[in-house]
Amino acid sequence: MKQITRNSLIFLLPFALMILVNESYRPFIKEKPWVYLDVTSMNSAIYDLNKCTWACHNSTTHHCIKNHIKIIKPGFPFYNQINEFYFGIINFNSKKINGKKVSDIKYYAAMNLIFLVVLWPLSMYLLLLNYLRLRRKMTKL
Amino acid sequence: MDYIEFIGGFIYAYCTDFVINFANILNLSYYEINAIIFCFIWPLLTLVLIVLNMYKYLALKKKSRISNSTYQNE
Repeated sequence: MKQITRNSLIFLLPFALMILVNESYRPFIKEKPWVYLDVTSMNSAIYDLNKCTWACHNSTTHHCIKNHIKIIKPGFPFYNQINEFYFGIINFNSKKINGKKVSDIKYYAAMNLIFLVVLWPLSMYLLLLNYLRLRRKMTKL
Repeated sequence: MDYIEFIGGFIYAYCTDFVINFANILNLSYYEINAIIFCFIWPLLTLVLIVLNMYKYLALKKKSRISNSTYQNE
């Protein structure tokens, strides 16, 4: 019973953290929310120079990287490798026809959900649980 | 099918809003928060967990072999 509670808490903690951040920031958002995939989001898609909005999601290279970056800019250690890895993930999750990237927001969102919201966190969660199980087994021996 | 699409869209939008809000709270950018999470923290954490699992598994195997041989000697 104690283990089930602990495992459930480990599972729920990242979701709780995300909800805490979003809901504590919600009262400070005054702009009109943007509608993405028929869903009304929290933030707007205004091209604001002072803060990030959905415009940074829609136009990362031409808006966010140009106007908002503070730390990870040219000269930062492994800057090129970080960029390659970052856009590698984006390209991997984008739809391709004959090897060429095509715009399909539903496909991109689904791929992001499958890999970055489900599969990768789930594998980390299972690795953590397995480590805790092995540690407990070790102390019992 | 429409309902599943709506739920998927809602989760995706909420997660993206989290990254945007977190970036604004920390006074960083959307790009940087994504890079920190997906290029640093998660790969590093995954690697650490794999190494820890391997280490614990081998240590457990070694310990059980020692305890088995001690039991047989007795």
